[in-house]
Amino acid sequence: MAKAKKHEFSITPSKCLAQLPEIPLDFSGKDTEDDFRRAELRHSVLDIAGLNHVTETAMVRTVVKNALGRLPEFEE
Amino acid sequence: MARTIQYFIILILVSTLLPSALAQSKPDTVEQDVVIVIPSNTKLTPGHYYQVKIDILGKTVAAQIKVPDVQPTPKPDTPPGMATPSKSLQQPASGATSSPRKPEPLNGTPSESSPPTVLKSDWIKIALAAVVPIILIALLGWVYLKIIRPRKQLQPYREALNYLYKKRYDEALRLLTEVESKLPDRLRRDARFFSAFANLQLNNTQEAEYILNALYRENSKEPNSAYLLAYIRVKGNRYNEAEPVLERMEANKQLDFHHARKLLGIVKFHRALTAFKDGRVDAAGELFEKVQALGDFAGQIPEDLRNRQVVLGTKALFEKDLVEASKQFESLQNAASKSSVSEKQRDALLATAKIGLALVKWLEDDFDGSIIEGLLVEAAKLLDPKGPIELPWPVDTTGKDVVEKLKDLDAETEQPAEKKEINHFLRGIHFLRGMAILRSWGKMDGEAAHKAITTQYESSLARFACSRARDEEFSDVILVVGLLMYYLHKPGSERSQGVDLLQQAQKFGMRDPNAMEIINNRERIERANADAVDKYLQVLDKYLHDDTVRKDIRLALMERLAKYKKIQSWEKCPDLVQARSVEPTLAEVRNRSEILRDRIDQILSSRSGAEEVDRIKKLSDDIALHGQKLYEQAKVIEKEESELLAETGNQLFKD
Repeated sequence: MAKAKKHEFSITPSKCLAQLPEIPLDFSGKDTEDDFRRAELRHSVLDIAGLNHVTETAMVRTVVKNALGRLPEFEE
Repeated sequence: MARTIQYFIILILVSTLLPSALAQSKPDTVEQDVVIVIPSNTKLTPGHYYQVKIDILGKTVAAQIKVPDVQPTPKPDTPPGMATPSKSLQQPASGATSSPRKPEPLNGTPSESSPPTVLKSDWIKIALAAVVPIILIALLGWVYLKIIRPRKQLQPYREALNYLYKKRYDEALRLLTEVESKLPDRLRRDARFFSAFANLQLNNTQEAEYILNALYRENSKEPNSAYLLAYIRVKGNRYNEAEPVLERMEANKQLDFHHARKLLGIVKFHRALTAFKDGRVDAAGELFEKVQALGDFAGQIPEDLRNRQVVLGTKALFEKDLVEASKQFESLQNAASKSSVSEKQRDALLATAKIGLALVKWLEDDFDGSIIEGLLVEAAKLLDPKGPIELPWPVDTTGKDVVEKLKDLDAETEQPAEKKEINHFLRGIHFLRGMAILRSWGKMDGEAAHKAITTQYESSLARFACSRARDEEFSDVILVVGLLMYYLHKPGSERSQGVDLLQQAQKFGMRDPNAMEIINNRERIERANADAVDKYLQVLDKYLHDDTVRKDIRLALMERLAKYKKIQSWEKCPDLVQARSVEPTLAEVRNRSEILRDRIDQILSSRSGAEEVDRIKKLSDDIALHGQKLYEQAKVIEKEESELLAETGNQLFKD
């Protein structure tokens, strides 16, 4: 058969593919990000140590009670 | 183009048919070997020519016979009297009656000759004349079927591709569907690809994938359909289905085709994440190794996930499997010491191992703060040898003006990712050091804990300061220090600073109820203060307008208060230049003092506890005391005045 040369046509498969937007690597979902962070020691130091605002506050109050015998009142 | 082909065909026809036709029309003579049968008593002279006439089916043809010089040997099967072969004839047309051209004729008797012999070259010409038209007809047919007709059929295909080019996918798809079955094989495959592409652009992803899947099954080495198929699957987050297609492309060395390598990187990355979620740490490690090898997303693999011991140790820590965690981090420590990697990488691995071991110690029941402190300091030194391990707590962290803060922010934004990562790591390390001190402090018995307030408070703050130096917005450290300052100080500037810190922590996301209560309490006090200021200004206004207070006293008071913005912007501020003074009575002084003290007591009632308030109350009490004394003195004076008058009367009235 008489082969139609590709340049005879206004578009080729390769040109079509070149139009496609690049797919980014996206793992920013909350769950994924948490899993990801969780797998990393450097981002998990506080989690592993069980430290968060609640436990930290509790620890400070324990220390203060232990050292002062009581927690100061607001009015003081 | 089609017209050119038509001219070309006509030219071929003319150039091939014309010679044949001419050959047919041009009269010519042929030389043939023939057998002539003549009577036995007739002898032809060798070397002589005879003119003959040959009767061919009633048509007389003149011919010429030449008798060869050499007497021919009769053929075994030649009948007697037959002379063969004889001569070539110069035959004007066909058939002949022989007669010698010279010297003598054959007595006018026509000799009977054999049919003229046709030469080989003549046969070729005849064959060509017959075959060439057939070939030409076949050629014409082929040209029509394979060139002219397909070209006509290609026209809508071209139009379809033009639509595709112009992104008019609906029209392109309609034409492609119509023309596809009429196209030659190779173009038909392309047409199907274009249909899939148009479908994809029209969000008919399922249809597009169906076509591509068929194309891929037919020829998995063809990269266009393989790539688009993988692209659709990756875009749809169907990594497991995209993986075999991309792996086949890799096997076919087609990973450099468009973004095939990146697509495979994405697939492997997500599969690694899934493996992590499923707890298949080894599989995840292998997949991340592949991502690293592919290159594009190697930088996005978290540092710790590149080392399986770190991953396994971290997993064990989360699962509170301290034996396993300890084993993994000790193993990492040993391996890192002997590793041939760069010094920087080795130090990072060693630091990670030490932090892992410190966390094991933190989670153990028999908590030992000093061991943790030692491990964490080593880790900090490995990550940043010049970094401080103790700092004074910033007295005023909010003292920077906006320009300075913006500069700091710019500097932070410009930090390389690696530096940010290390800072993040170090802020956690130093914070854990500070918390380890608090934990040890909390375990002391009450008396020892009380005695250690100053040292433990300062030690922990020195570590928390290092943490904050790595991240000024780290809310955990601000919360803890704020609480310590609030709880461990009496009302005053340091406690107030503690509440300031809690408010900062709130801005950075802190919502701890205890801390929020402290903040809210201060806000309540501030609202009360706002009322108190109004009341105070009323009292001040009355006092400044009281002529029984000496003018110089009132001027001095205004001079002392003039530095405050509230006074500067006070609309009722009196002009004391024209003021006059009236000597007060004792009762006036006493009443004035009592009212003033009452008002001030009311104003300060919501501010109890602060040192300044105590001092003011003492002043108020002093005024009361002095007033009482003044009253007592007045009574004494009155009594003495009475005595004076009595004694003087006694003296004067002695009769």
